[in-house]
Amino acid sequence: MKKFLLCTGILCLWLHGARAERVSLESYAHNLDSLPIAVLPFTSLNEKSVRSDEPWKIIADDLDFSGRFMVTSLAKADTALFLQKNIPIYIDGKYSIDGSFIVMDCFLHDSRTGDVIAEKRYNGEVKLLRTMSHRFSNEVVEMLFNDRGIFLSRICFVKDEGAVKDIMVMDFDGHTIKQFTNNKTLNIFPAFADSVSLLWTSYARGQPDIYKGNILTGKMKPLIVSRYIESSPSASLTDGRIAFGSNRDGNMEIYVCEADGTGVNRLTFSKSIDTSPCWSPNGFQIAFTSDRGGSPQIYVMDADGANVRRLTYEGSYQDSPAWSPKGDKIAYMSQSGGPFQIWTIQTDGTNPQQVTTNPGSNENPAWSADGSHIVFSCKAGFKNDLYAIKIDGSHLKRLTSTGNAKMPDWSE
Amino acid sequence: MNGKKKLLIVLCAACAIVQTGCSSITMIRIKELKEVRYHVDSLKVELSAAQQELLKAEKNQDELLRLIRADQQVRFDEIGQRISSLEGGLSESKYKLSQIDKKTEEFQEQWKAKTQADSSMTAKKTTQMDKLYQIAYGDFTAGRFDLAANGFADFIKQFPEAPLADDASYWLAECWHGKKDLEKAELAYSDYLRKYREGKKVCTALYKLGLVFESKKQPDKRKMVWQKLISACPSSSEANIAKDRLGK
Repeated sequence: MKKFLLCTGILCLWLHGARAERVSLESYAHNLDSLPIAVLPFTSLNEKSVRSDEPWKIIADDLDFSGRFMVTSLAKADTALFLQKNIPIYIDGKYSIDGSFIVMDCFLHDSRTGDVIAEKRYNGEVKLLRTMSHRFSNEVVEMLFNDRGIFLSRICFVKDEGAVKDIMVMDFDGHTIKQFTNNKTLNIFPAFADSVSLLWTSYARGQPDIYKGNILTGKMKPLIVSRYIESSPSASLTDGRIAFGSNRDGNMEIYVCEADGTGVNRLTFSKSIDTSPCWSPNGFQIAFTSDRGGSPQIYVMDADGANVRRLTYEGSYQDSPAWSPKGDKIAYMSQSGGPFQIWTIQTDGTNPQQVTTNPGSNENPAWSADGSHIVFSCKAGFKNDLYAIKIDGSHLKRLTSTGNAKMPDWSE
Repeated sequence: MNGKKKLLIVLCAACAIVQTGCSSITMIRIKELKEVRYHVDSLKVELSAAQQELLKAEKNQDELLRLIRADQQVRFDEIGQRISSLEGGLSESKYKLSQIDKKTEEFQEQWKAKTQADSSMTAKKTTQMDKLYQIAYGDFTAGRFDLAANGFADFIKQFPEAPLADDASYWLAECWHGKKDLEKAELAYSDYLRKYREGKKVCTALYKLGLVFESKKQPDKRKMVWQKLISACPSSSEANIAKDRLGK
């Protein structure tokens, strides 16, 4: 009861002023483990119902995925039930379909009074209903937590079919999987350069070169081409510069070039294997894997190659660093006498934390744009599938079930 | 007449004998020549064969030398890798020791705070100092260079003799470099190199100063600073990059 009054009291702040105001409840929401919210079915205004992609289910799944909400799906608004379950807010909506077009209104209500706290209208083709629903989910997260939502982001990954490996792109929740490459060869190490551009290594010429492509237009072109191995590209979010691994000078080293592939500069000069570079979000540092110390470990250096320092000391094999968009942590895969697990570590090398404990070999982590989740591939037996997990190790969700998905990356 | 006939016969006979003799000698000479020629030809064949053998032997020797050199190179590489591996093991041990040292320091700090009332003031100052540094560094890693620069400048002003003052001076220069304020960056790196000749970041500061000169399109100054870097810190990663860039 007290919790309900607290939540309701907080929400009373919203009853003044115009609708659709943005109010930051971050300080309050963080006092709750997760914010209880109910989602009700939307009403059709002209008796034409959506056949698939029911927006209320999509929104409920999105909010549940975020781990910030305790979502309850109910058939209708019931004040007594809201009170009983301590649910201070609920979502419902209405829509009308005209041919292939839909107009949809989504509402966020105070569950005590039923008053509308915020509303959003979306209209467009029915086939874009998932996108509209995800957009509203983003709005809800922004309104309540003053943080960006991730529900319009995408995940790219490798579909491994042995001699042929293709790049695939899907929504963050595993829906709408589309094939991006289709050249009957090996395409690996995909990485988002921005929300619609991909970098990856392709053997289209018979050699491992770095390619760049647009997931909306399908256009792709070779970017870094040579007679050597060019692999594991990573693009800086600040200026598009690309870090990658290459053996053009004898053994695998880290190089940096401009976004168009020109101006290549070598950053590492060790006799060991240096690979898997990953930019910090401020574009000032690069994390990478090196076995210069006798076993593969994670190192960090400035983006100009200076200040090389070792980050990891625990475990016998560390690889695949991924820098959190918040800048404070690096995720990586670590092995210590068993299968790989996903770990995180502070950027000063302190506080290594194990994230995954599920059975199987957990590899190749990548962060969501808000730094709250990690996607990774899990190999169990002969099958590889993608999973998402909150960084505290909770809310593990399976994203694919094809048995051949690996090397994921998550877009902004 | 008989005398003349006899003389003629004798002469003819003599000529015939001489002729026969000459022919025999010629025959012998021809035969000898043939033998000599045959001998020479044989010798030529033998010489050619010997030359072939010599070439073959030289080739084998070259091949052998190549293999030996390659083998040696591999061994040197192996030795180099083992040394790196040992260095890695050493740094792991150092890390573990530093963890133990850290815990020991923490216990010592706690003991001091408990038993000495006036030392709590010192501990408070140390905590404040660490906090100020950590906040500034956090701003730096988040890309908030202005805030970070203010934080590091405050730190240096308040704690000029602190062990972290060296690092703070360096990171202050990095803030200006990050902001692409090349004039301030040049001053700050130069200031650091002047104040901390034996400092922890000397090699890196020399490299970064060179980058500043590169951005300012001052290749002579860049070359001078990087040559200093290569001379002062020959085995550093920064020196390797400088050598590579100067060589281009």
